Amino acid sequence: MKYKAPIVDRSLADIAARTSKAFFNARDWQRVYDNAKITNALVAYLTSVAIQFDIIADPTVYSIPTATELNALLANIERIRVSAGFPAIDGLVEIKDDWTAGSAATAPDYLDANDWERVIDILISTIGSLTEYVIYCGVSAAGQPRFYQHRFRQYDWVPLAETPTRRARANVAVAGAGLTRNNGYRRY
Amino acid sequence: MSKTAPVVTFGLYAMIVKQDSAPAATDIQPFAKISDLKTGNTTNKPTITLEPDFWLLDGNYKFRPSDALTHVGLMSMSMSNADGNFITPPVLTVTFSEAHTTDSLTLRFAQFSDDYSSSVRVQYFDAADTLIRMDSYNPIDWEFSTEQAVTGFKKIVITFYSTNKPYRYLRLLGIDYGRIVTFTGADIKSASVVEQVNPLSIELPVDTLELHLYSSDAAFSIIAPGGDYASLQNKQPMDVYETIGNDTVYIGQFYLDTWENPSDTEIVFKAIDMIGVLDTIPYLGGIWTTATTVGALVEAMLSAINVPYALDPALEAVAIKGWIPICSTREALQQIAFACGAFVTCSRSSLIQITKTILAADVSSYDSIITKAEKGMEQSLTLTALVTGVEVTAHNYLSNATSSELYNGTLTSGAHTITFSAPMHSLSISGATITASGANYAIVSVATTGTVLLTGQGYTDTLQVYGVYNTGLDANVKVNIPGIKDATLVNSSNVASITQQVYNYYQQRYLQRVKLYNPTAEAGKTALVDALYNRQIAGIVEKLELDLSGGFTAKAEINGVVVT
Repeated sequence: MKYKAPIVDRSLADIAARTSKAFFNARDWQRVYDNAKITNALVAYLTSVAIQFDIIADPTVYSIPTATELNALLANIERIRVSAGFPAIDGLVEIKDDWTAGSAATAPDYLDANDWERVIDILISTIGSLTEYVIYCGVSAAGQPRFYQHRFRQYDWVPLAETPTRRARANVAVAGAGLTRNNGYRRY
Repeated sequence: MSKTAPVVTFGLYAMIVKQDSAPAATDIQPFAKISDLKTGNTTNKPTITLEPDFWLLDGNYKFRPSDALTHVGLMSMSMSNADGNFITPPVLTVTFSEAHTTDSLTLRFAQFSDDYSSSVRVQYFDAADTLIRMDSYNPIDWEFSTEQAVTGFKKIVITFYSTNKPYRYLRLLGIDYGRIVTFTGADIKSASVVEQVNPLSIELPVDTLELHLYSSDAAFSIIAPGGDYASLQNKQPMDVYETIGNDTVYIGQFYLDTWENPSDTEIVFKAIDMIGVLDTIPYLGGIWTTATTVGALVEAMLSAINVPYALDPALEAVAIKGWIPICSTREALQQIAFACGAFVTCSRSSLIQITKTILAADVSSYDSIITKAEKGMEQSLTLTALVTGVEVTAHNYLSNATSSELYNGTLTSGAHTITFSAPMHSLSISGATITASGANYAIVSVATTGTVLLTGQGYTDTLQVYGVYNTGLDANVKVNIPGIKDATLVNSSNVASITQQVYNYYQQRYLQRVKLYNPTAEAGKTALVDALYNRQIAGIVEKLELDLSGGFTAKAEINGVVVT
């Protein structure tokens, strides 16, 4: 599954002209869901925080979605947004996930659909920089898994060790310490 | 600038044929109710589906409510293919208990999304189930009349072969036995509509239409209104639209109230919406000493008189108890709306919409944003009178065992209705029998003329005045405390929240009057308006005076608070 380019620029002019962006079709629903799934996997990997990600049936042209189903889709996005713990970024808005049914209830419009896709897009395009500004609590310690101690590195990425041998070390790894020092606590 | 013009349509329908009809279909979505075609209770808001290019993101497409509240008419299970053709065409069969005659058959498809069946076959059968007429049609609009008179039919079979767009369910929202008359362009000298809401339902305003028509048709003579137009007097609905360029805006559905001919060729129709019609329909009321839900109460009241409505799902389960005296259905609806914190409107809809009230201060997104550029020169901002407190009287009804005489007199043989000015229970009678009764009435049957004595036990109404006051005011501020005493569905359980809501509403003291061109604002909806001194008012549109023939302008009244 690949991340698909989102649509984030729907406008009132599209609605008036009934362009392809004016409608929310099964493929749009599927794209939002798939992109959310990919974003969730990446955020979960980088933060080690797993959120509840509800599985939603693949939509078809025959589908008559309910407010509950859309809310489940949007609640996934909202949980990813909260879980990522990003600072305030333009467009990274709270996603409404309590739509109700009925002709007197308010229903999503093109601005809402833009928000759904924009939030996912901001998350996935920014998540790579997560380690640049996330400050972790706690201390790293000898014998911890490598991925755990990576959290305390100040480097974007750590190259594979030249000599992946297990080396017993005394002392403790220190948050923000240098690559050489923390590499000493690898298990290989 | 787009050209604008009003369009008014009404159907010359034989209601008796419709009332005798029994529509049936097998190819139908499980949540759809074929009976909607008979009752006319169909939503005018499209239900969200994922058919290709169907769900337009304009905010008007709504999620389907619970099955009980879904009214989509005939919506097929089958979907047309890429060419718009049904592999197995859906069939609608309408049977009647007796043979009828009609001068046309009108089919109403999905106006909101401009979806319709583009190929239809209509077959008429007589009392012996013999085919007496068969025609095929190719509709080119969501509303279609066959313009074919047929006599002596007892069954109609309609087969829908295709849709005008590919991959579509069939959507049939109405079927009427008669034809449509349309007024537009030169027919209409002027048309204006007044839409009003009261967010608290302290009153239940009626939307009105005033229509000035030009016609040299003798059938429009007020002296002898005959032929087609006679049916207008029988509360046939008139649907009003405004065309703006290539778009059509639905304004609402109205019913003729008065008919006036200022000259031989000018006709003035004054019409009211369904809320106004409800004012002419009596309601026998009742008492609910244990809580019922708003959904159940409204359903029992409006379904009994075949009035279509849309209830906000947020109100469906709201508990309510108390007493409704004998009154008009409009007054009863007002009591319910006030007690559950709702407002009622028919604007931009053919349904009565009962919507949960939202106060301007609680609104975070707006249905319309009115900038300086969109406003005309005519505007004013008024600071309404300071309300220093609100008092609402709660009514708590407890049954008592005190028996009292409700009627003592001579009645002739036959059925009689005796009504009470206060709720009663445990009725007993001598000299007649009670055939039906409620808290406010008894229908008695008298076998032979004679004295009838009706007694019953009553209820004690314990009153509780609940107030919310502004205590932070200077002593010299003039006290202004409106009171609401006759809301008989307000009780000890809900009086606090209702009083607080009333008080909060009265603290919204800014009334922005503004003239709008091609208005997108609607009565009962939220708006953010550029006001004076570069400030903005957030509020609810409480009144719109629409001029449909003079370029589609509106004088709006928006009540709310200053937000920026």
